[in-house]
Amino acid sequence: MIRQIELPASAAEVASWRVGDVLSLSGVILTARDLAHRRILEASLLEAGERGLDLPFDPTGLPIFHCGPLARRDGVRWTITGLGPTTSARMESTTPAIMARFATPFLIGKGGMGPATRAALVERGAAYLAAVGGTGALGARAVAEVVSVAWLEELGMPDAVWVLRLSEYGPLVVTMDPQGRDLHEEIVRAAERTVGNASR
Amino acid sequence: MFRGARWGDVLVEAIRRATVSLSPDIVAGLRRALDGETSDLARLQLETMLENARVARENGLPLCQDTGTPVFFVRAGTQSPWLANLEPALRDAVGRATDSIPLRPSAIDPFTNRNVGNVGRGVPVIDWDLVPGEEIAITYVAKGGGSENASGLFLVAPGDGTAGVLRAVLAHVVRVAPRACPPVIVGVGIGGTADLALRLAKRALTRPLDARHDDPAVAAFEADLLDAVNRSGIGPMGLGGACTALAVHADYAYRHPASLPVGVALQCWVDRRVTVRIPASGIAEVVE
Repeated sequence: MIRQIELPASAAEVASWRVGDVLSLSGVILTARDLAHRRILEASLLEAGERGLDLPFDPTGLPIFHCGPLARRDGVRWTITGLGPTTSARMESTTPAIMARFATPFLIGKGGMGPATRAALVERGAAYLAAVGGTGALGARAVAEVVSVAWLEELGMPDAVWVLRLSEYGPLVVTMDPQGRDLHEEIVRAAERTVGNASR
Repeated sequence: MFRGARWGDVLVEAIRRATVSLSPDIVAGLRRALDGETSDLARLQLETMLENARVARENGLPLCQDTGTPVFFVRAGTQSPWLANLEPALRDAVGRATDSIPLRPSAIDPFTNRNVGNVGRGVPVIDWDLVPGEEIAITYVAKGGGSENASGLFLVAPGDGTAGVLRAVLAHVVRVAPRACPPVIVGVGIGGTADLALRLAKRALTRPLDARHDDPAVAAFEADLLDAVNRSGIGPMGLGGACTALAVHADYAYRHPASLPVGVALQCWVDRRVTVRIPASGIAEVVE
């Protein structure tokens, strides 16, 4: 039932994902949340002008995981002791521009996103995967390697950008697919109808 | 049960337990929810939550990477000899737990965005309730950001009555629950002033999952709201299903004739919660 996906996934692979598919990922992703999205976007806007701002990592082609990890430092080595999704909707305003600039193949988070991201996913043949919230211990055990961490001093541990190599991280459910289906939206619409009918 | 002569150490141990070990009442609640789900996706979410609880406990890993804003609900006996030391001791315990477990640094200056750890201006949050007696009872709750963002305050028209209260809370919960890591626990504070309504809602979250309000009218409101929330079909992690909330805990205070404030506080399914009792002797214990 769970499909094992090796990263980087081909465009054809991602384009084949449909709402309800359950995946497990192995390969490199980066974590980013509110403040990191803002900084990445500012960097990409500067690059469009005459002066580029060097990013300390290359987001090109990497899946973005909405996550603020918990990590322990042993000497120079980092161990991730908690890894799981944060609420994705907060990144709605910055996501379409980042996906366009850095060819983001898919997103991982929880709770789904809004109409601008939904349109960007369709346009780009991309997808959104929902992780199970609150399962940080399972996530920690799926981290094979901390490749790098950036902006740790400036933004702090949860808001820093962590580039991680995952090993069989899942289950992840495709909830927004390249064809424009959005399971979050469908569930909420149905719930509002049920609640509306009940209170009439 | 964990006892210790140094109650500061007992507090640190209590925080560690709450961080890595899901309360037995929540585990039982998730198992019951699993029995009631027929959708594959809903079952997968609940099975993964229960598996995570097992892995966290067995490996001493935090249940969730968001180890939360630390909140202490203190019922402080005014005759306790430990009262004067309590606030610095709570702050110290959070600092030590942050280093030893470790907890994720999650206290950020809203003006500079500097992350200082878990002890700063206003945090840990301490809710004081002064009571007669010599004992101090402290309930620690780790409040995740996702569920905190699902808080709500409604100034209901008094003429709309408790039916209006239920409609307002239900509409709110249906809108925000998908982002609060459901199945959630819903705290509702009814009456008082706006700030008191929210405080009552928060305090209600400290109750054991299956404890109903001792006033039958309030208990009936809890049952009606729980039923309505779960008929919404939002389900575990908002992917559809029969269980959106594990429990509703309501409480109330008398209201002004013109005012019916309603506070709503949600807690995620990873309801990290533990209670420590400090008797006059200072031999503290963690209460399961």
